[in-house]
Amino acid sequence: MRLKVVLLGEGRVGKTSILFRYIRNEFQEKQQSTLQASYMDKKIKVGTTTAQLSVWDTAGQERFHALGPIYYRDADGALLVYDITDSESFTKVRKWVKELRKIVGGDINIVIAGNKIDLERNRQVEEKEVLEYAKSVGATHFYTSAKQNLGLEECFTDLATKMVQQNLTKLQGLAGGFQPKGGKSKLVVVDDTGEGKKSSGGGGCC
Amino acid sequence: MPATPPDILTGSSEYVPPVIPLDDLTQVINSTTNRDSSSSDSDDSDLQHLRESLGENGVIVGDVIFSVCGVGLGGGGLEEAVKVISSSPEIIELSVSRILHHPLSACLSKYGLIRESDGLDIVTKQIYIYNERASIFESVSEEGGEEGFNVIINTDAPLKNNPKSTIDDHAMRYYDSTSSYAHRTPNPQTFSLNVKGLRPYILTTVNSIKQDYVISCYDPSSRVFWNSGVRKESEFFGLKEELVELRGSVKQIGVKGGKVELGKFIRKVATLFYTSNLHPSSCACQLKLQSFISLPTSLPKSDTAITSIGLFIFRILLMPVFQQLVGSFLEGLNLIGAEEIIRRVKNNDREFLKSQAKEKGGEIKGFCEKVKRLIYQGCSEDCKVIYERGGGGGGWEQEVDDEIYRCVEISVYGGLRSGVSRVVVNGWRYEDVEFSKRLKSEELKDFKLPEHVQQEWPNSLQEFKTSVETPILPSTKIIGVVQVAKTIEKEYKGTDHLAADDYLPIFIHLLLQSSQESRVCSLVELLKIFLRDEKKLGECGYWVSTVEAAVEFIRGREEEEENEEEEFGKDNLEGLLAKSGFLG
Repeated sequence: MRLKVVLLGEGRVGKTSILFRYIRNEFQEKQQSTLQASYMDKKIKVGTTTAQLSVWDTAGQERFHALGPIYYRDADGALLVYDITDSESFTKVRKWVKELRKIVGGDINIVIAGNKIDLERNRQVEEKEVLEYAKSVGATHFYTSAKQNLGLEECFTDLATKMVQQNLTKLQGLAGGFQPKGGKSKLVVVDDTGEGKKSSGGGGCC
Repeated sequence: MPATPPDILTGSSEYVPPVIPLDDLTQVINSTTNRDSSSSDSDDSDLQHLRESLGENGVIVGDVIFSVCGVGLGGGGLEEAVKVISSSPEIIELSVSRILHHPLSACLSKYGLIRESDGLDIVTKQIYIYNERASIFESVSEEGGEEGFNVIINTDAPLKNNPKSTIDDHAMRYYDSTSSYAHRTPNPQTFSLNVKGLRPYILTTVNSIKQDYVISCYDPSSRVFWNSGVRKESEFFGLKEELVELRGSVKQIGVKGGKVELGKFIRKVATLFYTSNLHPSSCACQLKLQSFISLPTSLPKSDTAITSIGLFIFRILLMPVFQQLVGSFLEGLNLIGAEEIIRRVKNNDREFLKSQAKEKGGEIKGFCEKVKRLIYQGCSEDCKVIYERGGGGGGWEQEVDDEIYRCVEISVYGGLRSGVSRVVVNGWRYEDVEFSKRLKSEELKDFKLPEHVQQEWPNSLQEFKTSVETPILPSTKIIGVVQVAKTIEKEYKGTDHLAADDYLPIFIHLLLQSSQESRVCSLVELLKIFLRDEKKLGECGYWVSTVEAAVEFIRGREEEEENEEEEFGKDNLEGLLAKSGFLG
């Protein structure tokens, strides 16, 4: 099962660091706005289901915001990242949520990550406000630190669990109305060590 | 044939993956031998058990019965056999052949694409013969040297050692009433073939240019596309005469005027090495054709596992059932012609052309996907073996899946390329013109891209031209976009790492530097239309989206400036969405 996760957030909130840390378990201290990550894959096991997460990073600069829908169409889930030391970055989260609901639809799974929790002393975003907002939009909230590798596993696991459950429910719905066509094929294979066997198992000489 | 076979041609009914026959086999074995399925460790042990329990006298469902009490079942033999059975002895002797059919035959049968009566045998035999014939080239290339190019052909030798041409019309004779397993030619002979410089199978499409023609060609052995020189209609007739002189039976291949008919003629001639009897002049005929289609003098040799997979798949696609399947689809597609396009353009009816491009492109993609799945289901074991023999590592499934799709796409899209391209280019002509104007009227600095991306990108630009703009196949173009992203990463001179914040402006930068006459908008639409569903969420989808975003950014820059003060670019967003079709 392949699931698409789009990573959204203002520039410099650390969304690329989160991706890099989660997928490759690496963190680069000295960075400008980005790391070597834009699209990454990761297999994750949710219960008995193995899901392939395709994580799409997006450009965080304001001037590219309008291009967001090109990236987040067909997304199963979104990880919205803000910086707890930057209140403006949380304001933008509210706008992303509205936009995602509008463009992708109401059933997109959303997780909000308050990043840079290692800088708690510089916090500018009220915890109460964040938690109430997350609850009001049906999103889960996690505190994360890409630098200290905190909360990331929980964050992605929660998102993946929601997406897998949603997809399984959809599949079950489809299977309920599915009628096999054509019926069973007749028996065609029996015996022999003759010439046909070579073409069956061996394939070709090329 | 199933009462209502799934319609694989039109896609009107949902594709259901065929059941691999082994499932059925296990069930029948269990019921026949009255054994509990849970006690069965493997299909091999089941078979062994069955053989032991039945001995030589048992008949199993699926056996091919050649004769009853010595009376063959071919011709009027069945009727005779019934008389024998009704009047005869208690013990009835049956001549039985137990044949392991190729799994592909079961897939084809399930969809009603071959006759149940004999199709399984024919398909199995065709695959076998094609593989045998391909082995001629494998053996000579291994031996090497001038002498090594000579292959001794004995048309009367057992099939196993000597591939003969009993493929199309004669395939049914393998199971004739005489029980002779291999059909024997009426006039057996032995001769030598020199296969030096021979390309046994070349895919061709004839395109018209005013009154003349150009043949688009693809050689699966080297994976190279090329175009022939310009040919007049009379030259096709001339080619046939020359071929008839070498081999009289070529006279039976019809040749008529017009692009379609000439295309059929060339396709038949170009595949004779597989689809007809080997003949002392087989090689000479093929070389004559190669000259006619301007085969490049030096084609690279490709020995990769994937090339071997491709060669195998093209042989599968050469089978009459697939030729018919693809041919029916192409004939039924009803792509609008050049005159209609001109009329729509004159009437400023671009939306019609856009919807046609999306609709027909979707049909082509859907058909390719279905044929790919059919072949994958039926040939995955063969492909795995070939892949491993060719030195391929783990993860063969995805590579094989991609290669099968590519082969099918070449076979299907090759003949439609010019028509599809015409619709797409004219559908998005206005956008391309506006895009070019924008590039001409504004300077790079006007786009205010981050400084760290404003370096020279010669390799990435070249990669974009050669891997995205130039290739013929949409799937190759899409892979090319991923290649461009990788080249950007290598070419980047900064010390920090690249991510989405950088890649998008870099792609914008690349597009601004690319030719002002390029048709980037229609190119992006083509990529979107032909991006396979299963690739949409993955790496290919991501990079195609990045190119699309870069194009939209350049097109929407004016609006961005106008709406700078507006809330979160709301109007800009909706403007872009409307342009890109997201809002219908």
